[in-house]
Amino acid sequence: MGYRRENGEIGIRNYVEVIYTVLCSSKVAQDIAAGYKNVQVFGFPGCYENEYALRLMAALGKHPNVAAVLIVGMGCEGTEINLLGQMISESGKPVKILKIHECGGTAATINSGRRAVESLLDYARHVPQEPISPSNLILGVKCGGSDGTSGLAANPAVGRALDLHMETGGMGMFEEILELMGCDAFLVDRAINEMVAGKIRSALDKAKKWSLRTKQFGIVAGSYRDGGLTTIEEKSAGGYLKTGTHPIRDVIKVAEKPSESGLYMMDSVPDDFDVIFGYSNPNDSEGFGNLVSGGCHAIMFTTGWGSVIGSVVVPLVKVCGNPKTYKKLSEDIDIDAGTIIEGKETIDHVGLKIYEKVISVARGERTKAETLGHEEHYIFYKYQSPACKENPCS
Amino acid sequence: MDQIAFKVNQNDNVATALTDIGAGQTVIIRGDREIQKVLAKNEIPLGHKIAIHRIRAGGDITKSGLPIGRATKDIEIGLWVHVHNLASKIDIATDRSDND
Repeated sequence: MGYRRENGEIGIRNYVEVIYTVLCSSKVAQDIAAGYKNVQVFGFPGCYENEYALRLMAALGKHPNVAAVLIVGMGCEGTEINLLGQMISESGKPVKILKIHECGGTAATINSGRRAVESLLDYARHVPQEPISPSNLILGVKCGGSDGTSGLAANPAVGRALDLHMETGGMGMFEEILELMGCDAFLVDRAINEMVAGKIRSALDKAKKWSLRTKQFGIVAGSYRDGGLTTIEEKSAGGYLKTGTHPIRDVIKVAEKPSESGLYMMDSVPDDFDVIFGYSNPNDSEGFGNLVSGGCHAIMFTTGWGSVIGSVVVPLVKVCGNPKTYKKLSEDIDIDAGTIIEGKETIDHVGLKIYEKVISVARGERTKAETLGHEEHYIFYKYQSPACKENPCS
Repeated sequence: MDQIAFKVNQNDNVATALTDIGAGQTVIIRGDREIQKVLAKNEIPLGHKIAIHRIRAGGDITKSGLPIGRATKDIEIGLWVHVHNLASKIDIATDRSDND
C-alpha cells in the first residue's frame, strides 16, 4: 500500500524519523527512538555547519516514506535546527523540535522526546493509504561488496529489472560516478540530447580529476581484489551494467528530485572549492543517502561478498551474484543471483524475479535487512553546489 | 565437474571463472558461438580472470568489450590475469601488486 502525504506525494513506508543535528545529541535521539516500531534515527555528527549536510537531512526528512519528524539537537551546534525544521515542514508533514539545552538535559529530553514520538506515531497511523502502481515509484540502483561475479550476474540482472521498471513509466536513478570510469562512451551514447551528453561528460571528468587529486579511484583494493576485480576500469565495466539500457534523461545533483519519468544519473562527487572538500561514496550508506535524497522509494543493491546493511527511510532489495556468498549469508540477502553463475537461471529470469520482489516490497513486504533491523545512515561533510539548470554547471 | 569460464563480449581476451579452477585443468570458455577450451596454467578462483588469447606486455586486457587495463608482462593463454600482470591505465596510485 502507498501512503498519501500532505503534499500529494506517495510513499511506501510510514516512518517517524528522529534526526540528530550533532554527535552530542545522538545518544538522546537513539534513546528516544528505542523500542518503537517504525521509528528510525539518522543525523549529522559535525558541529561545524555544512550546507550540503543540511540539504541532505532536509531531503531525507521530506521524503514521502516519512510520516513525521522529530529533530533533536543541543541548541549550540552549527546546524540551524529551526531552519532544518522549516525546510522539512514545507512538505506539509508534522515536525517537532527539541533542544537538549532548553529541555534541561538528557533525561528530560528523552522524556519529552518519547511523548513527542508517540504523538507523531499516532499521526502516522491516520495517514490515508491507497494502492500504489509501479509507475509511481522511483527506484535507485547501487552496488557494494563487489567481486568478480558482480558484473556477470547481479549487476546485469538488476539492469534488466531497472529496464522493466522504466517501461512502466516509473523513474530510476544511479550514482557512484567514481565507479563508471572508462564507461564514458556508453553513458554519453544514452543521453537523450546533446545537453545531457555534455552534463554526463562534465560529471565524469570531474570524477576523474577528484580521483587524481585524492589519489583514490573508487574502492578497488582489498576485498575487491581478493574477489577477482583487478582495476577500477574492470569494476566500472561491471558496475555500469546495473544501470540497464534505458536512455538517460538528465544528470542531477544530490538532494535534487526529478519530476519527469525517466532514468537519471546523480552526480554525488564534491564540487571544486579551493581544495576538494568531502568524499564521494566513502561507504555504501553515504551512497544510499544520496539516492534517497533524490526521492528513491526503494533501492536495488547488488553485492558479491554479501552486504548485511540496510538503510534509513528506504527498503533495500539485496541481490547477490556469488553462489558461495549466498549459501553463507542467505539470511541477509533477498535474491540469489548466483544461480546465473551456476547456469541454473538466465539473467532475464532473475531480472524479472528482482523486479517482482521490488513491487512486493513496495506493497509492504519486509526485506531481509528490515526484518533484521538494519537501518544504517552516513551523513558527513561535503561541498557540492545545489542543483543547477545550465549545461554544464559552471 | 566441468570447469567453466565466461567470456562476456566477443572481443574479450579474458574470461571470468564461474567455478574454482585448478592448475592443469581444462576450462570450457562459454559465451561465444564457438566453444573454446583452454588449459589453465594456474589456480584461478571463482570470479577471477583467465587469459584466452595471448597478450603482449603493454597490450590492452579487454573485458565486456572495454579495455580494463594493460598487461605489465607477456601473458600466455591459460594464465591467471590479476594484479601481478594487469595494471589500470587510469589509476596510477593504487595499482601496484603487493608482490612487486
